This record gives sequence, structure tokens and C-alpha cells, in this order.
Amino acid sequence: MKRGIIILLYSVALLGVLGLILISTYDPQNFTVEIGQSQKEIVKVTEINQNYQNYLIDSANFVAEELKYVNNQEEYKTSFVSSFESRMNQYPEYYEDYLPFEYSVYLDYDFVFTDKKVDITGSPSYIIDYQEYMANDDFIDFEEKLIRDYILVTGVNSEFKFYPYFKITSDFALNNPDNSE
Amino acid sequence: MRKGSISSMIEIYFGVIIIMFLFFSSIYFAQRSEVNAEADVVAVNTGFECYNNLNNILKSENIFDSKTSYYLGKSDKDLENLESIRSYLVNMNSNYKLSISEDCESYIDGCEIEGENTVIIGDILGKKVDAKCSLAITKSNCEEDCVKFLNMEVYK
Repeated sequence: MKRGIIILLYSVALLGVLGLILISTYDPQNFTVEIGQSQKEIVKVTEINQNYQNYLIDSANFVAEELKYVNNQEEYKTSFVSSFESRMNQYPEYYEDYLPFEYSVYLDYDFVFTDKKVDITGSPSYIIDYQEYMANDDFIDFEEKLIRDYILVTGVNSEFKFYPYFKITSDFALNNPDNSE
Repeated sequence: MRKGSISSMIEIYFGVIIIMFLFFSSIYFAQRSEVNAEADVVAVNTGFECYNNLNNILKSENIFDSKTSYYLGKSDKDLENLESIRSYLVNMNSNYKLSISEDCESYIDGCEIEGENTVIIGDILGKKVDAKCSLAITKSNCEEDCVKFLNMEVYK
């Protein structure tokens, strides 16, 4: 009698499980798939990089504007680089794993002074990049290569290299109206 | 065979029927579950409209007598400048809220729009925020705090 009851109870339990399967299949779970995350990321980074470039040029122009009464070329260069980098370091972080501009990218500056004018160019410095390769079967070697520095923005699904650059012309060695007689 | 017990043949017969029933039912319902599976595919708002419009405003040389970002950086009359931007964009067939702020909690997600330096372009009544974004402007005269933000909310 006991064996018979156990089999019957076992069968009922299995039928219960089957019933649950039946209910879940007739009323299936809904789930939502979001598409376009990568596009969203690309749009955001592209647009913010454009703004970064715009901020860079405006900063260079504002600093050059501040220094237009400086007469000494060396003083002008030093002050420009110091002031400009201080401004650029204040650009807000725009990615969680993004390092601020400070020392994450180096710019080379070129100053060309002519009569009362200065042309200033800022472009990413050359840095040494190491590329590994298999020298032979058991040996990995590194090759040094000079490349332009860049800002690397790493997103969830992608990586972007960004090369900031500016070229401006400004006044130089003007007579300061405050000091003129 | 004791009184009240089930014969072993009936047990086997009954067990086989149950197992066969379970086996074929499982196949049947497994197939049904594939057919009935439902998924909602939702396209994420890329925020392209918001960022693109904001960048266009900042790079435009038609709103003020110089590039907008440069002009806003030199001027501290934020509300007056926002009114100028509004009068330039008033004929656009879109609904925005535009503001200039000195602080921003999350530049990535877009700064909160609050305070006096805010203008509304179009009609936002009864509409929801579809996207929000912020871009940075550098200020002309500054020592340490050289950044302010132009913020936009797109309403739909």
C-alpha cells in the first residue's frame, strides 16, 4: 500500500511541476532588449570631443589675449604654456575611466613671432610607443616607435583616440594702455 | 498481495503512462515556449539632437558678433546672452530649455537645469524631457574656476 501511495504522490508532484511549466509557457515572461547603446556612446564622445577641441581653441585665444602686452618672447612662451595648461586641466572629466588632461596628453608648442604678431601652434607631442613582436619562437621583443600622443577614451563597447590641436594668431608686444603716457 | 495494495503490474503500467505523458508534454510545451516568447526591442535615445544642437550653437558665429562659445566666455551677462540665443532659435520647430551654470554635478549625464539663467524655446508645457546634455565653455577672466556650462533639455 505504501509503495502505491508513494508512486501516486510522486506522479501528482510531477504533474504539478508540469502544470507550472504549462502556466509559464502560456503566459511567457516579457523581456526588454535595448539597442543603440554603442551609438549613444559614439554620439556622446564625438560631440564632447568636438566641444573639447572648441574649448582648447577658446582657451588658447583667451590666454593669448591676456598676454598681448608682454614684450619678452621667452616670458610670453612660459606664461602662455602655464596659463593654457592650467585652463585645460579644468576641463571636466567626461568618462569614468578618463584621466583629466593633466599629463594624459602632452602638447608641443610652436611660437613664431613677427612684428606685433605671434602665431602659436599646439599639437600632440611625439611619444615612444612600444610594440611587441615575436623575435623567434620563444622570445618576445619590443620595437620602439615614435607616435603622436593622444587622449584615449574607453567606453563600454569601444575605444576612441583623440588628438587635440590648435593654431591661432594673436597680438604681441602691444603698448599697454595702462602704462602709456 | 496484501489487502489494499496495488499490484506491481499496475504500478509499472501507471508509471510508464505518467512518464510517457511527461516526456511528450515536455517536448510539446518546450516548443510552445519558443513560439510564445516575447521581447520588446527599445531603441535607446542617442542624445544626438541635444548634443548636436548645443555644439552648433557654441560654434555658430551668427548669433553674436563672434563665435558663441568665445562670446559667452567673455561675457558674464548670462541671462541676456541666453535671450539672444533664444531670439535666434525661436523659429526652430523644437522645444528646449537652455541654461548657463557655473557648477555641474555630472557632466557625462548632463548638468541639472535650475536657477535664474534659464530660457525656454518653444512650448514645453505637458511635455517630458527626452534628452539632456551639457557642454563646457572656458571663461575669459579667471584664475582657478575657468569653466561654465551651457545646458540643454529637449522636450517631446
